[in-house]
Amino acid sequence: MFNLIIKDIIIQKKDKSIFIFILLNVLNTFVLQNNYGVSIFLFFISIYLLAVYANAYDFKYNSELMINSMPVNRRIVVASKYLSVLIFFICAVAITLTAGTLFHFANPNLISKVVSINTIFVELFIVSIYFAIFFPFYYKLGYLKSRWTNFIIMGIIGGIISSIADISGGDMKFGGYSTLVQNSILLGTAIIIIAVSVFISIKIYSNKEF
Amino acid sequence: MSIVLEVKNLKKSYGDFRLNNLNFKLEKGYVMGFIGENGAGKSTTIKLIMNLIKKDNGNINIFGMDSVKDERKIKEKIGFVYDENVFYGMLTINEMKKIVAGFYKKWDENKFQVYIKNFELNPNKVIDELSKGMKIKFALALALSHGAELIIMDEPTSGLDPAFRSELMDILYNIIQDENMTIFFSTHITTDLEKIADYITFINKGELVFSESKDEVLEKYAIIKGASKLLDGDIRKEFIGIRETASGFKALTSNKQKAEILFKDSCKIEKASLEDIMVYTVRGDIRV
Repeated sequence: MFNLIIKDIIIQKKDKSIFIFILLNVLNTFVLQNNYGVSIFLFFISIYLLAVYANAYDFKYNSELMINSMPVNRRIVVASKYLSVLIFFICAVAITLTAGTLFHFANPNLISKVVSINTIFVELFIVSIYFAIFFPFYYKLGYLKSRWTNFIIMGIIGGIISSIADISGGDMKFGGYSTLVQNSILLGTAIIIIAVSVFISIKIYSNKEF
Repeated sequence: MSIVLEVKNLKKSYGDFRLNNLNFKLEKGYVMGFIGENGAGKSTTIKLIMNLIKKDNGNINIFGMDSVKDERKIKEKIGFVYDENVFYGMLTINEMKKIVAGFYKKWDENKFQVYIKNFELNPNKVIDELSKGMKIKFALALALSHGAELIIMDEPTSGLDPAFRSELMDILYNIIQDENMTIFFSTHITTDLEKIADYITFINKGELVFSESKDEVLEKYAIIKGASKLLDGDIRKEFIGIRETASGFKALTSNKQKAEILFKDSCKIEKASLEDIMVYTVRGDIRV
């Protein structure tokens, strides 16, 4: 599984997508100061970019044929895609936190706050919903056709982000729950929908013909 | 002698195409040429062997293991070379090698470096910039560097110029000097096989025509040339395919001995090439 994740990273080293990923997350530290909805969306887009670019290369070079000709289980191929997203998520959080902290120390007036734990859990929830819906479509329809489903899922994600930003305001708190309960609900929901999605994707991919 | 690859009653349907009851086996240390015209089912069979598509029926055993249940163990010991490039074209040879090497327990870096040097491949060259021949050499270097005992090649010579095809055949000839190496090689360019194949499996429209040793095939089949007046109903039945022209006929038989008795001195009997066997079987009777 580790090899497949490394593969997704190596193939993007040649591309500008990693640079854009870093740039978006650094820029996000500024956007975060007064535009929460846009900030979450930028964060999401940076991860989307890496994950979908990796799929684009697999499609362009017909590399599923290569991957499935090597000694690797199809379940592992699917699971690694989800795990890659989790790793991209952790990297995005690390960049935003590091850049935010550095800028805050350099100029506290410009950057008064760094990304909060509540925001990170909301972002995890958003990213999980998107990829939980996207991957089964990707495995079922292939790269080209699944791009159309992106528009629909993006619309849903945009709506969720906008609602969360409106309801919660800057502190990313909603529903009157404590931080612990709220974040536990978000994490629990994310785990459940991802688990269901992984199960569906494995089912689809196991029967796929190349 | 141990059987490396055994295909039993293999069936697969795709729309109008049907691979019907395919049976053949390949022993360790031999080269099998898998021939048939385009669309005969060669790539489908290879994809079934590699478990890239699902069979409708039948069994495929590789190294005595089931191709589906023991897929991972089997693929550790299989090297693959496909007709199309399946590697990330924007990466260099070295970068791509790093990705592939991680998947195999028995990856041998020294061996890979030797092959890269022998094949005159620049490890820093981007794959998209390699010629088709160089891409095939790279795929072969990868296939040979992880302790593979079975090399499966799907049309590796299609689209290559004759000089490079000859070079590739020389490379394969050297590889098979290792008695542990078995090669299964699909092609529609039958001349490639004359030099290196021990066995020939021929399929036509999804049906097995034969799977025999090359020498036996070339011994059994013959081209008969004679005057058209000899061709009556019974004689026609003796042939797999007949090509008739104003000056006479040329036909393929799968029973050279019988033809020798039947025609004695009235016809010319010549050795059939694999290409003759394929062309006459596929095209049947032709009147020019």
